[in-house]
Amino acid sequence: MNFSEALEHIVDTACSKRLSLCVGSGISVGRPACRPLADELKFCILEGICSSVELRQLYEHRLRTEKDIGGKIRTYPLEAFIERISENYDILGTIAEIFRGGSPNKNHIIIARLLENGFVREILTTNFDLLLEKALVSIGWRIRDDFNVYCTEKQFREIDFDSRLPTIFKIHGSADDQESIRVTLRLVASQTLSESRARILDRYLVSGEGDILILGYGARDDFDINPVLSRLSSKKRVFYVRHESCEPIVTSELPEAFRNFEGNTIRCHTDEVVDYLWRALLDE
Amino acid sequence: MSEDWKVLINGWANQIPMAKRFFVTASILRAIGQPEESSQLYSQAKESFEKVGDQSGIAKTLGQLGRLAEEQGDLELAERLYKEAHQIFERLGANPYLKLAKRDVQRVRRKASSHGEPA
Repeated sequence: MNFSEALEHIVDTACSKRLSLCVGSGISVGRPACRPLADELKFCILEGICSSVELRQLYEHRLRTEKDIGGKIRTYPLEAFIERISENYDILGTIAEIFRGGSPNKNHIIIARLLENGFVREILTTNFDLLLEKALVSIGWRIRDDFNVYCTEKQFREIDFDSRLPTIFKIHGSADDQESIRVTLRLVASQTLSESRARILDRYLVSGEGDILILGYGARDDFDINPVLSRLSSKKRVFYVRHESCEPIVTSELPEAFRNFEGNTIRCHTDEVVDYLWRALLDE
Repeated sequence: MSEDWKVLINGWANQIPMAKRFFVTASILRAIGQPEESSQLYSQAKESFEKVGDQSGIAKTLGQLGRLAEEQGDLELAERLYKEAHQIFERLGANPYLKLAKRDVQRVRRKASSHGEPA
């Protein structure tokens, strides 16, 4: 399968209303959203903590992203990293404030339009930010009347899977509900995905047919999501967009967590995929 | 706009007292499997807590140093550190950590006796 064929396949699936969308922090980086990626946030926090004279040298020589300990910090999940800090010094309010900010960018607007036009009915995201909700509100939708958002453990347990409303599953919680983030941090730090969250993954990724398009997601949730993913197998085909500034290449390898899934990795600038969806499905 | 989140982080970080900076960094390093570096930073945290007379901070740091010693198999040192933490918490009176400190001492004693080491 080449790049054009992959995109056409995704569009065909969207037209037949069988496209599921999973999105991660990568979609919220571009202006005017400007929210941080996990690594950016971790190292900014660490640099801030180590800004005193006493810790500066340790940071510069060992902890920076390119240094030896920095490498280990890169692979340590953001949620667990924040929990380790939060246990000793309150940071949650600041984290929630960061992810309450920003304005929707092109990715959020296009995803909102895909929902509006019925090409996608459900979105699964690990993002804390509110940018998809803001994008939907900007096109005149109202939460609960026109779309649902699930982000708390209680909500995950009581999901109405028969609802006709388009739905956003915020599997790691949401910045407008600090407690939902707090619960996620504890779960991730203890290397657990709750049963209700695992059930969403199972239903969303396994049940039924169609394609799963994954955008802006690093697939590095080794403490909670990945162990569950690696136990699932699905008839759904995964298109994993790995953001790279290169000529688009389609390979048959997926990230390790998706080892039991069929599908392809599309290595390209994420904009190439998003722009194509816009032109093919929404640009009348 | 693009840097607004960095401003928030810097504002947050600027308020962290020195002892907490050492303590938090030590906790992260412990979590990612850097016990030696973590131990050094906990020791620096302890010194900083001592300078400002924060008894609870000292005891919590002793508890973490004890945990590191326990993880490294130095049960004798772990027990000494846990006991020291427990004594401080006892002096402080009602403290949620008192129970935990007692549990730490008991656990490491059990471990030591099952390893045939002097308790």
